[in-house]
Amino acid sequence: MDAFGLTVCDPPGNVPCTSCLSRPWDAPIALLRHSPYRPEPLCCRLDAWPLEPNLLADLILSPGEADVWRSMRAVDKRRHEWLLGRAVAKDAVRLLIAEHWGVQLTPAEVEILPDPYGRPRAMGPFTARLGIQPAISISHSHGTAVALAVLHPGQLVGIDLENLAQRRESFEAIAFSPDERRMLAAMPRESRQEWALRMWCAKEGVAKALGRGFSSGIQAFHITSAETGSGVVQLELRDQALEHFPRLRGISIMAYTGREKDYVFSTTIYQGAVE
Amino acid sequence: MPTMTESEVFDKFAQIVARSLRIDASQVSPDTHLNDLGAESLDLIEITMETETQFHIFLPDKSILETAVEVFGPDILEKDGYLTDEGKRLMMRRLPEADVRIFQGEVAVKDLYSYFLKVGTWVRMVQALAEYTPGECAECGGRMAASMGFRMKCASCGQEITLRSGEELNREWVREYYENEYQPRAGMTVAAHAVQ
Repeated sequence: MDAFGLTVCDPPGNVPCTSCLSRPWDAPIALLRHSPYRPEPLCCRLDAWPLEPNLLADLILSPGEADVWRSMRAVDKRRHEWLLGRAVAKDAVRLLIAEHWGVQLTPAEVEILPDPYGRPRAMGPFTARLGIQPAISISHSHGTAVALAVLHPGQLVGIDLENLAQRRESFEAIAFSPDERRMLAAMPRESRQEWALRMWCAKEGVAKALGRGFSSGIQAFHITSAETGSGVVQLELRDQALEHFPRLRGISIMAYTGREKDYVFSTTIYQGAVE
Repeated sequence: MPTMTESEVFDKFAQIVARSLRIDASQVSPDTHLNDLGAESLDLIEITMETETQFHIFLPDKSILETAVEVFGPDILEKDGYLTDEGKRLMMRRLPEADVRIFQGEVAVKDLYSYFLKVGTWVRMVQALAEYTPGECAECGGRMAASMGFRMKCASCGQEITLRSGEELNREWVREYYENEYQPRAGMTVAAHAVQ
């Protein structure tokens, strides 16, 4: 089915979906079977440009987002990542709302705006009309963009995606503490590079879920265990991160990591007071 | 290494950035921000490590504000997550290439990180650190090569030296600022928090 010349994806369940550019991606959601929160998140993925960037921007952006797009001083690569991220996040929210509320929203009705800390939020008149505030997280790597969305109030979400094919030389020395590096060293040599990226994705996903990124430093997100069988990585906050999130002292946060072809990803959903 | 001009440091740094971000080096200019070039956290780690390797330097782990708060003590430079006027003054001295309008309103500490992502700021920081990295051995004039950790070793006579870390140089800069600019202005006579 085509709408405006766009390929229309198959929606989850029986919800009709129009002009959806990205496709639901179950792999990061499947990992959440271990989660204690029984969330109903939705993840979308976009691997290629469906349209020429300016045309895509005209089609999906709200007037406010279009102003940002036009005034963005970044290089094309960054601008395009930003736009792909918007496209996939809008789809994730729209599909989730269609699935749970039966309401069809156009891409421009779901406005992706940063909160004061830079975390993306899905805004628009639909939030007041439906009484919901979806939480979203976006990641992109090597031209692929992914977004995770949940509707459950109070849930924080984070997703990160990295490509194994990209040359990464010894980032472990900065990314990981001596304890974490020892954990990595104990893993089978053939999967070490993958697990270094999984552990990195876990840190990044948790940092995104909490909404402050790595402003407290990378080492403030400390990995306490990494289970190669389940892909579950557990983290605790340390140092300055605990000043931001004092209620997380001694709390273990789980990140669910996985691999699909050359992509490694992590998903985090956390429910509970953090500040 | 032999003293490098700002232009030489910039050219070399631009190549590192371009290679890490898979962009053309012509897109890198002193005024661009690394995040506007598409750099994400893992890219920044890669750029950091490659810069340290190629320039034989050690970039600081802590932010300049963290180091400064250790020297100044609490609540002088930042309070409740925002820079005080004194904090803004210090950051303006530290970031001469930053747009001063940034510091005219409230400045959240969480936003400071992004101001250090300007290419020109990295170039200045790298150039300052590289000045402390000898290219030739002081004993025999042989070529100095990276050794273990913070050390360099002469390829000819084996003489080893310990490099100064970015952390150490940051602390030195803060202490000089504290003693020569802050204390006279604040009318203080004792460096109450200055570290030894």
